[in-house]
Amino acid sequence: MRFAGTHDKVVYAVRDGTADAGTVRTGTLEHLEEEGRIRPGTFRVLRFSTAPADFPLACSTRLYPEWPLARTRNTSVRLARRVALALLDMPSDSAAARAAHCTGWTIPANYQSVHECLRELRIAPYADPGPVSLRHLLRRYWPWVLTFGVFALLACGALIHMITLNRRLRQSRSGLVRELGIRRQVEQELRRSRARHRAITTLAQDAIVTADADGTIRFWNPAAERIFGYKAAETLGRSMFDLIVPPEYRPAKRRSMKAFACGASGRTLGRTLELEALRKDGSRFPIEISVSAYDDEHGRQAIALVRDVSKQVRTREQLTKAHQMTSRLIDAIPSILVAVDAHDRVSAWNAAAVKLLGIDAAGAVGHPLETLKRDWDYPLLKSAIDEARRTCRMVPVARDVHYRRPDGDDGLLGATICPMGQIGDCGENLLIVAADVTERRRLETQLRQAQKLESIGQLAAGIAHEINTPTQFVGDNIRFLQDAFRDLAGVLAHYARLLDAARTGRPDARLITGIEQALEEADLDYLREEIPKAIEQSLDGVDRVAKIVRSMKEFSHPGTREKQLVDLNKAIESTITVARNEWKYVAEMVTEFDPDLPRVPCWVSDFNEVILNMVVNAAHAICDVVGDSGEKGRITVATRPAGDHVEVRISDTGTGIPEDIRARIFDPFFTTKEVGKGTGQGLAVAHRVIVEQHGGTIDVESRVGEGTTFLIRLPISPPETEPNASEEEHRHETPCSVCR
Amino acid sequence: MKRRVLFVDDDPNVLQGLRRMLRPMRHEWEMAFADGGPAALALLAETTFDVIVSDMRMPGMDGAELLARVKRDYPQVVRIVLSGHSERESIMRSVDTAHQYLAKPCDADNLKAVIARACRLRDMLRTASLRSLVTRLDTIPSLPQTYNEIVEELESPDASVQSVGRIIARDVGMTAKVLQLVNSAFFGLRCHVSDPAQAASLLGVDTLKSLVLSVHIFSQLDCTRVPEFCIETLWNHSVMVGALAKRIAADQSQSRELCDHALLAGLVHDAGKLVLAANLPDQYTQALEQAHAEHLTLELAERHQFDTSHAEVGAYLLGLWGLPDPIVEAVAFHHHPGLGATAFAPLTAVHAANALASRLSPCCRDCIAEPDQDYLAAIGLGSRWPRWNELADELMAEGVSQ
Repeated sequence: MRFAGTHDKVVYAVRDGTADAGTVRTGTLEHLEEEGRIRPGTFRVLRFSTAPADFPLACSTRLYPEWPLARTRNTSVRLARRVALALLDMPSDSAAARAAHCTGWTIPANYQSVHECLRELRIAPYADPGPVSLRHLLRRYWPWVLTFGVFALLACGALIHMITLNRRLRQSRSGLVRELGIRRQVEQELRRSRARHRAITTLAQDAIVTADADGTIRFWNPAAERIFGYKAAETLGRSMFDLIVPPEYRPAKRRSMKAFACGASGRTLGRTLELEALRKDGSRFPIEISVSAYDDEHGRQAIALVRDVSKQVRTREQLTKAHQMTSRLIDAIPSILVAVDAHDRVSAWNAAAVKLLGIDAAGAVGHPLETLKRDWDYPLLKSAIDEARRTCRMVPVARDVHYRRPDGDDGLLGATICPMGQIGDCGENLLIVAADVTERRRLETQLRQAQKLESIGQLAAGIAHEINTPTQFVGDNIRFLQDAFRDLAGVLAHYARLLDAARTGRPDARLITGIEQALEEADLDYLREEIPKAIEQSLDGVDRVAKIVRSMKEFSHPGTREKQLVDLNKAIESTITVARNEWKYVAEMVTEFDPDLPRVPCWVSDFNEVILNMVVNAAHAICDVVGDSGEKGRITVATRPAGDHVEVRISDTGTGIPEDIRARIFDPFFTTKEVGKGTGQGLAVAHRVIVEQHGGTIDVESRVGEGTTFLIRLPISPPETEPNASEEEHRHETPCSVCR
Repeated sequence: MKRRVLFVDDDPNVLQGLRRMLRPMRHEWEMAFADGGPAALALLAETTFDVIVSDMRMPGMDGAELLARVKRDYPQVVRIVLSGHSERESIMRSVDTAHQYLAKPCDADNLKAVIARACRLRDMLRTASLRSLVTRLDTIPSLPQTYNEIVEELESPDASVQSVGRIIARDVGMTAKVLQLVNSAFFGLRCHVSDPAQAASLLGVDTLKSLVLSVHIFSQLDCTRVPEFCIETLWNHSVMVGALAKRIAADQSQSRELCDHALLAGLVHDAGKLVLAANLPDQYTQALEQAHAEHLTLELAERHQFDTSHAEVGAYLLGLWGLPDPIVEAVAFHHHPGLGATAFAPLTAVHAANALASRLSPCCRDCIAEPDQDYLAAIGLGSRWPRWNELADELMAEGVSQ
């Protein structure tokens, strides 16, 4: 037995055979194997004992603590520590040590960690290490310092690098934040825009539809649903041609869509068109469509705004119809309707104007009215136009406008100028309404003539009677005178014979009886009495005839172009005479003529007609009173001067005119006489003649049951301002103008 | 016995003129003058008058009214209008009241002649009652069928005067009435027309329209009241006598007027039968029955019944109506020509035609008449009888062939 000193030497001694066995501390073999100083397997461990599983080393013997000092489980830590300290601090000369024959307790040299631990604890042998110098420290710790310095340098470099990196990071981060803000804004904008788009497309009353270039519908808004009747789901992805385009337009639409796909703008893009479309229920309706294009990932897209214009179209059609109706109406009016503007340029010209004036509308509208026609009385029309402008009132043109008709004949227009504005503001446009009155004027003239003839015709029978009666008795009387003369001649012959006999000698008695017989036969007394009467009555009869004929001549005086100074007394006298047969059976005629009546300018034939009408009316009124009683009423005709007028008063004792019709008696065609008895023109003619032609007045006083008085007043000198109109009118009445 | 004539006019000068002018007639006529209707009626109430001559237009009661009252109250008075009026209205009113119409101025001779003739007529019909009856008549009844025909024609808007004239010419009553109107001065025509068609055309369709449709100048016979009397037979007989008389006249004379008169007289020669049958149907039926029972001529039976015959009645009425004298004479004496003209006249033709027609149509037992050979011999025409027989045969042949 020997102590080799170290465990390694023990191992080597065994290996080198210098010893047969040895004891070593656990782990020594593993260390040496690891260091390569022995070969594994060379050694065998005696009394091998297994160690706990986590023990990494070969365990030769049973495990025992690493440390020489150990604490039992029941010993407190503090006690253990005091014991350990006491043991280690125990000086070698202490009684205990001596008792135990040891120098004390120490630490094995190779327990580095224990050493360090002791140093740390500043216990023996390291209880007082003495002063520590920097050099000492450097010497002791220089690798550490060096390492530290290197590390510090590295750390500084890393720090600088990090700071740089950090700055860059911060920069890019702020850039990112900014970008994020923008993006957020953009997104917000996008959201808003989308909402707006949605709102617009949803709320739009017009259908908004987008489609691919091949016509596949991509978008279909609620209005489209409403207008076409298809839900969006039914349309998306389907061809619009199949859905909303009427079959007959499909080929054309497909073609134009193909062109559209190739980028053509066609005649559709950017315009509003009116087309016909198909609803889901198959009905057709008019639409107004505007198409635009845009490109997206699917290619060229068409977006269409479609409006259902059925209502508008209907309204438009109604308007058109109404307008057509109005134009037809205006053209159907047989009167000329011409509108002129402020400069008398024609702005409207209806069919009657075309027909009657021989100028078509194209040739008239826009041209000054004056230049349109040469052969018409434009100045007359113009004066009325000016007056209408001035007065803002409707102005009838004073006279008929002479014009040349398209057929070359002369014609007359009755025209009225009507301002087309409102009350107070007549505007500058005027409407000229005119009708061809040629025929009417001609008929009026004829009618007046016929009336005159009628009244003369009515008189004719009476006049015939007035002539026939005297002729009858004049003839009878002359026949009587003839007979009487024959009888007297017979008597005279007897006397002649008696005279002869008396001359020659004695008259014969037979002669005397002959005379006596002849006298008796001739009834001389009767003859002596009757012959003068017969002659007187015959002369009277001839006077009557002569007077009637003269009166007739005066009465039916053809009339003159201008007024003449007329002795009204004489004129009235003739008229009464001519009309004698009309009144003599019912009335006495009383005339109270003022012998000093001044002559009055008048158209005597018209005046006579008036007096005739008055006298005949008076006779009829009286006849209604007296009937067939044989009694007679009275007609009084009186004349007298009254200042600058003369008055003619015609009174009757007839029925009188009831109050309620008194105002209407001068109206044309108003008559109370039974049909066929009167035309109702008499008093209307009287009014026209006296008031319009002569500037006089005609008044009526009447008491029912007592009679009526007409008072005619004629001016002795007519007003100078009397319009030419009546002269002209009068000219139409004269026979010479009738045969024009 | 003097005839009494009443003149009415509102113009005293006219009355005085008439009085003076007619003074030469004072031995034949007793004349009275009234200045109006009331005065005239007063005079009529005092004495009887044979003739009244009235103005038409007078104050108070006019001529038409006066004559209407005279017709009603004094039917035997012959009513003549003397008027200066030519108004249609008053003429229309006078058509059914006046027998004749004279227009002023009327020449003295014409006036005298008309009045004288009216006075003479009285002698023709002595039975006063009958005279009153006939004087009151203003129509001679027509064949109902013909009457309807003319009314229909005139009511149609395109009535022609020719067709109206043809219808009138076939009817006794219408012919007589139309001739009255044109031969008098009613419509101022004053021409002696004896052709009814011509008369119709002179009047004109419008006047005929109002005359027939409003004034009712034609009437129709109510045949049922005289069952024995066959108006159609009479009508055929009348037409035949007219036609034959015209042929006889034409054979005998060149005078157009005479031929026309003969035709007309032949047509109306039995008008009296119509008058009697229409107005006195019971008595006339008796006369007819008597004639049949006792094999008398109808004329004789009439004389028994009425103390006159249809010839006088017809002649009186036609005379009143102013038809030309030869016609009136022919009608009056067609059974006794010896009382009339002494030379060939319408009377001769009608007498012969009547006898020949009754021989040719034996079925017409009321038309039997024998020719008065003595009369024919007296006027030197006895030898013509065979010739007239031939004419009758010719006419028959034509009638049958038609």
